[in-house]
Amino acid sequence: MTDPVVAVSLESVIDLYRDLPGVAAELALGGSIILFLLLRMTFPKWRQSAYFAAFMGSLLAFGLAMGWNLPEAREAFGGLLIHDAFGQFFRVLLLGFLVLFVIFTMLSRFPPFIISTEFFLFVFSGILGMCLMARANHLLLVVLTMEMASLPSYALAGIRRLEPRGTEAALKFAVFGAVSSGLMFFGLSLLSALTGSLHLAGMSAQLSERLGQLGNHPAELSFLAAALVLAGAGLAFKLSLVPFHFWTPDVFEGATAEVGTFLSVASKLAVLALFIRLLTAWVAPLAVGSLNLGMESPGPFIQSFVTSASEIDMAANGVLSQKVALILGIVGGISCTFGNLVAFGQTNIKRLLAYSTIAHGGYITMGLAGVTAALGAPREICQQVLASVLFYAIVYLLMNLGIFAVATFLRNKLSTEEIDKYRGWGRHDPVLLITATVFLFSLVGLPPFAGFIAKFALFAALAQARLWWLVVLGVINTVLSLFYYLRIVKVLAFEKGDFSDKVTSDQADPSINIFLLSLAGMLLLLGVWWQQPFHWCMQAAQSVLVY
Amino acid sequence: MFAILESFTSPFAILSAIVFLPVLAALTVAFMSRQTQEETRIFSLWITLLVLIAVLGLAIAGGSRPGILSRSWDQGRVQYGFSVPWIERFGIFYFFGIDGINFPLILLAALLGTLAMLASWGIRDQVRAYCALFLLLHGGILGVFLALDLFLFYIFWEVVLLPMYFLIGIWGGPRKEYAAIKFFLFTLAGSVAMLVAILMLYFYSDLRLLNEIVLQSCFIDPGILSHGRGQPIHTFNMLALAELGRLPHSPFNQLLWGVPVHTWVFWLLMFGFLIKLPAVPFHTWLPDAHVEAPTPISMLLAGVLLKMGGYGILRLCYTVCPADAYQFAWVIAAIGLLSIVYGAFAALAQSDFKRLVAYSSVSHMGYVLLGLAAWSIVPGDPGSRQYWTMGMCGAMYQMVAHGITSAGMFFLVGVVYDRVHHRELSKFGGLFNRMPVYGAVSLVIFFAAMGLPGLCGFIGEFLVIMAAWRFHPVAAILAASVIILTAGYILWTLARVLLGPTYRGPHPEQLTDMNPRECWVAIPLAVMAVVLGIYPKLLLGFCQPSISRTVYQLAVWSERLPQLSERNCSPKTSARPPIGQPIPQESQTPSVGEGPKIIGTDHDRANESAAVGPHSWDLPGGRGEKTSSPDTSLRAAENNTLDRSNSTLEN
Repeated sequence: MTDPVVAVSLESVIDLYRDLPGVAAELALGGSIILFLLLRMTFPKWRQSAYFAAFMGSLLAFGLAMGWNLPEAREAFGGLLIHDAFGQFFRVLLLGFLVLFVIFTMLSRFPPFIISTEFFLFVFSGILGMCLMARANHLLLVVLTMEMASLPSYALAGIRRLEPRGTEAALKFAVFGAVSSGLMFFGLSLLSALTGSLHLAGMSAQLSERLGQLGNHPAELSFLAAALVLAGAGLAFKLSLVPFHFWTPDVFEGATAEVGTFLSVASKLAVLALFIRLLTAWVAPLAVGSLNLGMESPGPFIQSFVTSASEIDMAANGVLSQKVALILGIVGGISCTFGNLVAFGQTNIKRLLAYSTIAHGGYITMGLAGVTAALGAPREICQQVLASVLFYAIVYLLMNLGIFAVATFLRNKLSTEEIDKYRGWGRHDPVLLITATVFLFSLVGLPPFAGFIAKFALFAALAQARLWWLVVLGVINTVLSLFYYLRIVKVLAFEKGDFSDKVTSDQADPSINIFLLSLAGMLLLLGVWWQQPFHWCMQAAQSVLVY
Repeated sequence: MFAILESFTSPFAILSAIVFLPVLAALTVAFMSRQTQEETRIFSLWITLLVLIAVLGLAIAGGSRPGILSRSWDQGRVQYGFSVPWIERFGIFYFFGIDGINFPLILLAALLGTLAMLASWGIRDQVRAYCALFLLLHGGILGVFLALDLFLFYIFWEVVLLPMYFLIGIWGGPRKEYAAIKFFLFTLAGSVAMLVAILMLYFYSDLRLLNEIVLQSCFIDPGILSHGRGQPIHTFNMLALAELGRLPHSPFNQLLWGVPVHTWVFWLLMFGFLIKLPAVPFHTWLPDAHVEAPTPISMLLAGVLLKMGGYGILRLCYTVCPADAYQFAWVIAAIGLLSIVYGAFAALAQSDFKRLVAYSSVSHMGYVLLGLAAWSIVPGDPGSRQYWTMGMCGAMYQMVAHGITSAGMFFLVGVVYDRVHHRELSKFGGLFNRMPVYGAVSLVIFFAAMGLPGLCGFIGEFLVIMAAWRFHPVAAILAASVIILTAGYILWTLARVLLGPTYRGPHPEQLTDMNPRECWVAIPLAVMAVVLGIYPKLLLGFCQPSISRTVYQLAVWSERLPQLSERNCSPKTSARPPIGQPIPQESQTPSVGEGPKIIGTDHDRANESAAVGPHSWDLPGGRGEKTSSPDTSLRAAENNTLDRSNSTLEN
């Protein structure tokens, strides 16, 4: 297959016109970015309107993304992007998050007017990169969007220039990030050298074509393994999985809670999208094509697929893809356990949430292990497993945004981030207490909140992929996580504290309550009504599983 | 007009209302004004009363016989219920139903919910939040007992935890935070084990193995079979899972890590239920939670929440995994005995009044476990079944009786604690003189807990011990001798609290007799203790048909034990004849026609065949040639046995 970027033809130029509506939302984001720059440079007096511009810009982008009538899955811009339900799913998720995030920053009044243009500039360009990342179909764009998403994040971490911890966090983040990007790009270049292509579909086709010979060339096989491990390491850094998690607590503690929200939700979602894309492009051929990998008579194995059509027969599945699944499972399990155990001892709420983020990255990675293990299974099953991971992503967005919002509003009211100082605050702010309880219980994974459904679907997916050991690990982690999440509830609700000075000085803001209640309401709604959302996840999963 | 009326009296409307009325009321309470404490309490009380009236209405709607709207109650099947698709992709249904196994517990929950609400007038702090959480808890508990879809069951099971955590943690005693988190952690550990078991059941289940009539009896539309497209159809339906578990070639017989799936499921579920029950050695959360919880919450915790464990064992463990119930019967019985003995000794050692009552709960719930475990079906001997029926009925009776007595005891402890603010047994004494009504009620309820004949505690323990004798004489002797210990700690407690010359503790001036509101809580409990003690049929009439049916189904299942024993069953107790012996010939002589009423003479054929289930034997690979003869003989024998056991139990 020829490289599509090289083979730009007249048709693809004409196609450009056809492809443009698919990126209307991204164009709106770009327009907003230019507006912020103009506000900063040319009309500094109108800086106050940055909030309004951000809100309208995000709303416009979200509306355009929602309103776009998704055509049949097809490549766009000469193969650089792919328009499919999967990309659309993550785009809508990311832009929806952007709208909520802008509202949230308006309520928390964080970026003071003086830096509001910069703040939104970074946020919007980060989201722009992420939206493209979710639809990247070419290694060039993968590299580009990874950097587009990362660089604004480094800047955001240090946006409070006079705060030494923020600067330290930004520096740490940037150094770690650069190294991991380097690792990842090295892995990508190895892979492209192996397959002779930069185009994901082309690489996929090459891999499955050459798989038969790979068995005879151990050197090439180790080449492939090294490439996968390096690329995986880069992604693991972005998802803050153990052992690439060191930056997370420090960055979360140093940066403001708003930036923490952004890092904990948006960048995780985008990297998850990219992870799944690469997984299906690179590992799926290994799983599906493995029937002729050093196997002399594929007959019985195909037979076993047909007879036990619903079950995944480990023996018949690709050896390599099973190894990938095992590694993902181990990394996910360790991240999850590590995050939950270390979170026990945290006293700072942002550090605690950082470890909680690591743990949830672990759950998601376990789900990815399930997807990998299911890649060789009948399509319906693999689709359901992947849909469960996607559903987890939706719920993760809502509950993590919620709990970070609670932490932020607590900081605004009590000007501290130490959990012990929140003692008894729940009595003065019952709405905050109730919603915090909903978010935390959802993070633990207790019904009737959506967090339970997400965990249930995830564990069901792992069970379907016959990874029972991961199911066991997952439920043990659920019990482990209970303790530290409930500590926040306990401090807020059960203990008594004296806030006589704070209660009078700070009036309760009804819009904050409405924001928190609507997030909690969404979690409750998704916990009861999840047939349709899960159906969307199934559609998204279907479009990415094209082997 | 009639259509509207009918839709209001449909199972869907009534059962949903029983569960969700309290939940909606909880939301309403949360938005009530801060100033209206008294109104909030009265409103909550009315809601619990409405639920109680609805449940009682179901109980008496059958006319002169105990039954729910139909005379087919005697068949013991789930007959008042509905099933609506909820999440079709995962085969999850909104499925509520009533049969003899859950109905007594629903009655108990509705009754104790009302009484506990009435006992909540002592809560003066944050009344709105308290009432909202209380109502949420009440709805959740009723949901656990009503739900027959495993997913729904699990959701309600966990929903109960949430308000309980806050109710202990906010309104509890000095160590409330410790007690609340301990309660939560223990129960969650058990319930995630359950979650794994539920996933296993789901992914190994396959509805295609059941025929249409069985499916219909499980409230499943047989049309579902056509949607499978060659794939297994998984299910969360508890009744269908039980049918699958009893199949000769059950899908749960597959191996996972070298152990059959049903064994994993059995122990994972058992772990969750044993924690909830609680059985020694998983009981340590109970004394802490009880001591710290406020009085009404202790009443609900001991009276209803513990029963969720016993209910789960009866409804799930024993019906879905009969092979393990059979194989590990002695383990479960041993745990039960250990709980009985340990709980009684620990209760003897307590100096805190409430802690003593808490440990007595551990001991009493041990009888439930022993009764359930006393598997005394001898394959081929239909007469042996009545003993296990007795054991199970005894367990059920013990659950209800313990619900009444333990709620009563916790309430009585709460009454004196409200007055003198301590629970040290050594500082009481002479209360009989100062509080005569209190003393009289205490005598009735504590004696009922002790198992005095003529009061409710006796029936359950007696039935359990009868069954245990058949299971193994040592078990029965041990269980019976613990009654002496029970009498010891209860009589000693009564002596230390009620008798003696005078009260020596602090606040003697506060010791006034129970006020009318407190009488309204305590006297119904005392009356129930007496009524259930002298007229056991009131309760057995509800539960016995279903329990007989369950035991009967397991007996049919155990006819296959000779084949099973080659694989994974081995005789463990001497009370059982060697397995592998051919079925005694005399049991196969059918005497159809003598059995008058139990298994359908005039009911529709579908019910009958679903209950007896010859269809489940007609599966590919099943033992077709063996189906007819044990079936008819068992059916005939069933009639005899049920009659005999009916008369035994009634006399």
